[in-house]
Amino acid sequence: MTESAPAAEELDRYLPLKAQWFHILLALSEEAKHGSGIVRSVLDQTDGKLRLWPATLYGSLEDLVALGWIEELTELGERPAGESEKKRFYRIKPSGARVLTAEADRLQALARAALDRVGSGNLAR
Amino acid sequence: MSRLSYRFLLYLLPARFRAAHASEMENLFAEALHDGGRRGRLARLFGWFRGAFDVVSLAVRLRLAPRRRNKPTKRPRNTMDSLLQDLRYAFRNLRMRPLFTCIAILTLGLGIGANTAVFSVVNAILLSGVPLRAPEELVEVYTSDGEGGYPYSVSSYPDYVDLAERTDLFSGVAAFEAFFSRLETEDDTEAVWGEVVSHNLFSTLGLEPALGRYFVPDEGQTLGTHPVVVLGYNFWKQRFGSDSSIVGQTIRLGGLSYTVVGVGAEELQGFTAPGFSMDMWIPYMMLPSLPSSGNRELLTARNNRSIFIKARLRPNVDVDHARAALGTLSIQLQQAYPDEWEGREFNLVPTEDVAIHPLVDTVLYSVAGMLMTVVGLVLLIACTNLAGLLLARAAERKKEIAIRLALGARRSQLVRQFLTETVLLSLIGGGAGLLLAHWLLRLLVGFQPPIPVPINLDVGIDQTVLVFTLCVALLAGLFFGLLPALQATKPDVAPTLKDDVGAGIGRQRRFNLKNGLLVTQVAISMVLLLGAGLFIRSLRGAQDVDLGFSLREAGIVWTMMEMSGIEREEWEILASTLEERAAAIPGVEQVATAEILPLGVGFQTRIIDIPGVDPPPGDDHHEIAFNIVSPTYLDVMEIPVVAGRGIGEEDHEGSTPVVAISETAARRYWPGENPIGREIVTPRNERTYRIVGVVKDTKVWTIGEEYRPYVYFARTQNPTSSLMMVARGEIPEAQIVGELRRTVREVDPQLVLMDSKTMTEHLSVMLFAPRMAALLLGVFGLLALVLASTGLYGVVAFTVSRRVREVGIRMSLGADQASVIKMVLRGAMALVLIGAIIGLTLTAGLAQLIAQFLYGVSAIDPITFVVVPVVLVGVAFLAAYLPARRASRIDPVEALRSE
Repeated sequence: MTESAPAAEELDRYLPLKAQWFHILLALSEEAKHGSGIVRSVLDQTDGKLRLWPATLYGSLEDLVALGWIEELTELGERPAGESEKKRFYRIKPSGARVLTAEADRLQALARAALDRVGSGNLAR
Repeated sequence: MSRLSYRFLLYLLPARFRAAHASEMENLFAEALHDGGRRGRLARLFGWFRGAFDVVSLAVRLRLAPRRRNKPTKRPRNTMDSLLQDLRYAFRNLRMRPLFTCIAILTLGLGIGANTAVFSVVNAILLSGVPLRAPEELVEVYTSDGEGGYPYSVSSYPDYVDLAERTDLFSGVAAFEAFFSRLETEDDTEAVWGEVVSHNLFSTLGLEPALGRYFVPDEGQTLGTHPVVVLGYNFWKQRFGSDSSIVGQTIRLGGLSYTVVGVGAEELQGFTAPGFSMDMWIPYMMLPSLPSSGNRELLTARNNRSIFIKARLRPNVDVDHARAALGTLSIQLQQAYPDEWEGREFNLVPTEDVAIHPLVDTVLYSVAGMLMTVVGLVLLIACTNLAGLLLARAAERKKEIAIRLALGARRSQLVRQFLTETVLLSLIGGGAGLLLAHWLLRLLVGFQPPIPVPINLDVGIDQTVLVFTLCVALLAGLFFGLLPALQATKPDVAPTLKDDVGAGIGRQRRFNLKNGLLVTQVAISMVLLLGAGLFIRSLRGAQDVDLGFSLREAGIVWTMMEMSGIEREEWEILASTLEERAAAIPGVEQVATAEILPLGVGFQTRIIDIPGVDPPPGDDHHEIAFNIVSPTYLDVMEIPVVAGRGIGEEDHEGSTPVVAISETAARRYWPGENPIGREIVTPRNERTYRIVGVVKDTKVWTIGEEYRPYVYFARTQNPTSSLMMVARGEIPEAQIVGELRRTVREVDPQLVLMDSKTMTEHLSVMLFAPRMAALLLGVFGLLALVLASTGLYGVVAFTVSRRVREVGIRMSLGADQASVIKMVLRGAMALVLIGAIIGLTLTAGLAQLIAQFLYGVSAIDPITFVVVPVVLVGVAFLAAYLPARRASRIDPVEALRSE
């Protein structure tokens, strides 16, 4: 991924990303979701290993909104049709997408380095 | 329920956050619980805690680190918010004094942990059980023993049938008793425990099987026609690896094939007693087919009493009505069967009032009560300790408190803040206590009492225990927090603010709250330590009791011939073969057999008539404890013959039947006469035995008992199914046991080995209770001593630190180190001595209560009552001396400059 250098530097402060932040951003990268939808996505992403408990989820969502990485859908027209307005929907913002990408790159580089050193064959054995 | 409590928890979060997300969080939480719920109750409980922890940690994060851009709220908006403010303040306070916090948590953890552990055991034995349907309708029915006899005895099968058929009180009447049999597989034979039950026992109690089904009415109709079995859950798990295809398969039990129809519920261990995990259940109609029972009269003889009865009252019948109706039935039975029913009656007790059995319950409740008292006292010491520490801290904070009072803080606010801190502490301490209890219980579960029955007590930490721990922690927090809080917030603002520290000396009261706490602590420690001392001495006493037989190393094996399917005619041949083969084991020198060994589990008596000696008033016969032994038995057990001879080689099947009797029997029945040559008669089989010798007494059932009349029969003349073989020799006893087991297997692989053990293990049965008592009280007593002495150290150290200036003045006026030490010590030791004397007096007052648990030691044992106070006062002296010495090294100039 080609990112401009200054932006990457600025993002570096937040890397490595908290696991729950990473998974929430990842879940929102598909489409806008509300709380329960995010929990389900994260369960899917992690083969059911990571359950975001309610307070963790909403605590993180508030943090991410405060950082400007995600935003709440406030306009009626933006919200998915047929959903109660009591549910708060969130969508990822460009800055959030950049952070997500940067973290993914970091993880990829890390994984590659690990595989280079031990070799995937050795690992399997 | 869980949702409601979660909603309550959400109030921990800031109002803004709550308004935005509360309802969605609740829904999400419910979903999470629902997902976990599929994995069982425990998972749900875990989920609840996980969710609660989640909320609490977010609340702490949001409250402790409020975002800058949110304007800080000056004034708490509601009670919840102000409580949170108190909590935040308390957290900060605790974090600022890590040493105090650690000591407090550790102290509380020990105190609460001990309580939780003991309570878990009490809970497992006395309070919990299988959940039954509508337990308030269930009753236990007992038959009393004769006129004025024990009211809660077992019943006979015909009585049970009458109870079911001749009354309309019950919607179900069920019966059960324990049995013992052998499970045969292709290459092995194994002893198993189970219960024979009436077909309706499970349905009457409202139990559901884990697999398959329980019994159906057809299986309770005709003798011997339905060989079906329900396996116990644990047995199924261990023996069959939880194989769910077991239903429909057959197992061989006592020479007969039984079809497995189901597996019992996981929580169901059995009905006889908690902790006895039954391997299986079979219908009553199969009882006569079990080899151990042999005869068909079991279900028809009215004088054959061995069963327990449980019944469910019809919805419109109350207990009093049922009692009256059973009284009528009892009278009818007395008239119809005068021989079997004279003076007897049915007794009915609501099942909810019985933990195990009315007889056992009273003993258990008193032991449980004693243990709970002991750990309660330990916790009390822990609390007084902390109260002392808090008082000291409160004195340090006097100025801060005075300022706040002067600025208009209400006293109630300050007290609340104090209490928040102590309750928080005690909750954390409660958490530590749970961990400790968990660990203690793991130890305990691995501890198998030395009896041949597997004990499987479910002493886990369940919801009841959690609630108990929570309550104990809260109470402890309130208890040790309230007094210091009230004391510290006493509004005497002016002198404190005037920095009038020195004034404290003149006004110090001789006996204040702090001193009171110290005296209490020492007194309680004294009681606990004296108790511990007594039980340790009692253990020694128990070990020193002369049992009357040899305690030397030996190997023991126990087999049951009848249960192994061996005919009566062959018992004696097999017994002598076993004896010969055992004697031939290299390294074994002596072999003997007996029907039972003294001081094991079980106690047998036989009815005898003694020509010329009247039976006790009200009885037709004498009842006497007995044993059936090989000619070598008295030799091997080293029981000396006092007069005549013992059972010998010359006594065989064809010769005159003989017995040897104990000295107590001789004295009881033939006082002042020579019993040798006299006769006794066993009326059941109408045989006459000649007394050939008198031997020394032995303890028979318990070490605490008085010697009782005892009679030895010859095995060669009285074939016995139960055979305990004792072998002694040059090789270690454990090795002998192994050799004996191998020999038994070689002689007859079908022989069921009931038990095999060393003599040391056998004797440990009787020492089990005194050992446990000494161990528990020793541990708790020591814990009390440690807590009390740290408390004392803290209090003295604090007092000294408050008197620095006074000491400085004294020293600059010429007092030397020794006199300063003496001065500080005098004050502390006076309190210790007062406490010690109170403790001694209390224990002496409790002596009668403790005496019933002791062996061979007086409840006012002089050694204990000297050693323990010396140790306690010695430790207290040390705890006071250390800070006193430090005081004496104060540099007077420095001291005077302080403040």
